[in-house]
Amino acid sequence: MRIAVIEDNEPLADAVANALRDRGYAVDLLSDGLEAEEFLCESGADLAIMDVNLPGQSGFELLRNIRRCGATWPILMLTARGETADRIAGLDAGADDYLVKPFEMSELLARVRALGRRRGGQTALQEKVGPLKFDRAGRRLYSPDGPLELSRREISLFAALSERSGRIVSKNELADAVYGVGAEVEENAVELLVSRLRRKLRAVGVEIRTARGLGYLLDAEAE
Amino acid sequence: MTTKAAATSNRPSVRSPNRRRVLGGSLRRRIFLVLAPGLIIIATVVTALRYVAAERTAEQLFDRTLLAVAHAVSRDVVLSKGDVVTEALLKSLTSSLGDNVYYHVRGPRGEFVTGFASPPIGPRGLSPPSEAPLFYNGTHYGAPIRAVALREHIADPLIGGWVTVTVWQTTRRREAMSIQLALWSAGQMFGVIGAAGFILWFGVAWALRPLNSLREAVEIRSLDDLSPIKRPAPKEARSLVAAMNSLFRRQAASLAARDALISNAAHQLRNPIASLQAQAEAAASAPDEPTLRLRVDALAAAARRAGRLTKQLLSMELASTRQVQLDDKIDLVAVARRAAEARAPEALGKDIEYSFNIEGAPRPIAGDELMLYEAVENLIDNALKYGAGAPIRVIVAFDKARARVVVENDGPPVPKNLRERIFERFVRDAPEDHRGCGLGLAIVREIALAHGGGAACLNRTSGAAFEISLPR
Repeated sequence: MRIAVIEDNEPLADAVANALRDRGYAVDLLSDGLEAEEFLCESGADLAIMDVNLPGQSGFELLRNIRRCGATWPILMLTARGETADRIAGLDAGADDYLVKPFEMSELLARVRALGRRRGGQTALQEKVGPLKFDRAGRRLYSPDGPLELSRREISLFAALSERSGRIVSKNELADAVYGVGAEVEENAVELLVSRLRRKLRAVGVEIRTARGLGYLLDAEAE
Repeated sequence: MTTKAAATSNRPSVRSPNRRRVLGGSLRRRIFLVLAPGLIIIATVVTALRYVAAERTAEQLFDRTLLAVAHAVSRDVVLSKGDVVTEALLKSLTSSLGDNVYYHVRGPRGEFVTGFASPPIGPRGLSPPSEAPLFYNGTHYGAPIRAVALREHIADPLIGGWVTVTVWQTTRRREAMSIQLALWSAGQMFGVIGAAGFILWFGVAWALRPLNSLREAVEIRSLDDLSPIKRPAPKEARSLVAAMNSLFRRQAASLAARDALISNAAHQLRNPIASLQAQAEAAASAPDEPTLRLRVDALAAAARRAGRLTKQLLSMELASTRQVQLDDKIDLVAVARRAAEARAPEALGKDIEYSFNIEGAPRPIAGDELMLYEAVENLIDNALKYGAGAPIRVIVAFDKARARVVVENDGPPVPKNLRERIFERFVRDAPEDHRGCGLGLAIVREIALAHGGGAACLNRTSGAAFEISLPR
């Protein structure tokens, strides 16, 4: 996967590029808003990570301009702290996600994985989720000892949780993902489903954690 | 900012020509402009009244004399048997009265007896109707005169019967006298006004001198002098001085707090930067790759702490300078939920029991979303750092009077003596540990206060609980 990183803070850009390259992504580094527009409109990318404050033109202008020249691939915006209005403007302008600086590298990598999955075509590959491998298209989950026996709903639940790995997923979001948007589902139906999947995953070293009142978190790095 | 304006205001600014000079510029001028026209009007009216009074007095005086002359003439006529009044009498009359005196005596049948041939004709013809003397104004050969006509019964065989005596006099001298009197009185009045104006002009300046002294007291101040003004102030200016002193006091407190923040911040930043440098150098000299990885991990952790500290300093700055927008009605539950969600992965990753609850009926509150998010996140951060892995509960509660966000954990309680002090900047439960920077709770309090609410460490028998309470 080819990722464009547009960031004028050189040490930060280098660190992000290195972290991404270490995980096998190809990285194009750009530091100027106008140059980045030219490059992205010509060569494209599979995903772009861009700062809001850029020389040449702001990240928002860049975002609008590359959407205009036909870019449909996901874009992750990096914003400085406390710019709520900026966040909203960024998402309105067509960013798929945003991350507030300073961020943890693991958080950035998780977002990149999640955005990469949204991109069609990539999903044929098997994703690594901790010790497990997940075939999103084939809807099968493999432990090192072989495929796990999961129901259709349990697989949907796992897919929803892993898509937002590292983040809390609310019961409502899970209900929508498993039963369809707007379906009339009892809350404890989701709870029951989660506890069943939790039991099965715990055996292979993956934990579903509960934050009461908020939702669930897939913790693949448990143990 | 205010200090600067007050302390550096230029001396001549009060007299700068582009001010509205007439009314805005000088108190003295204002007082003068109010009082002077009043005085002039009063003086004019008084002068006019005195002129009228003087004229009346003069008229009465002259009338009485004229009447006396008329009586004298009539006696004289009787004594001289209708002859002309003696020259001596006339001369003495003229010299005592100032103006020329004329007379005319008419017999009972209207015949001319003596005196000037043509007397001025009175309002009732040549003879007054009764015995009472009749005074009137008229003209005699073009000159204004005052006349008196008198009827007297004379028991004389020659001219016996009712005789009419008319005596008149030109009034030039009398007029001149009243004008003189009026002029004197006008002169006196304007003299008094002039004196009053003079006294007013300098008296006001003298009365306003305490204000100048105040102005000097402010002018000579240096930029860092924010002590209260101690010079005695007149009663009318005391509230102004009190307001200024209160401003100075608040300014001084805020500057002191800022100074403390800056010096503390520099001190606090030195530690993580020193450890960054040390760990980077240690990493460079690592003998093998596993050691290198360990040392670089430590380096990253130190950088994270430094980042957290600068972020907190920025939040502090934001919380204390940002004009909190209270017009918007916001969803406190959503804000607190976002903050709780943001820190949930960290808590769950450490296997900490973590929950979010709503108590009471949620309602929109007036608040600044960004600032409240920051405040709630800081409380959760605190619980994560000092809660020793014990369960953390985030509760948003609504009752009649307030909306509250409580973050409680079952970890070690906050010592009683620290429950208030812990909200001060750079005060920590355990100063020797370097997990926190001592700013989080100060930020929380600053934000709560900006919302007209408060932040407190709750009194619990076990565990620690912090609360942000916001007014309805």
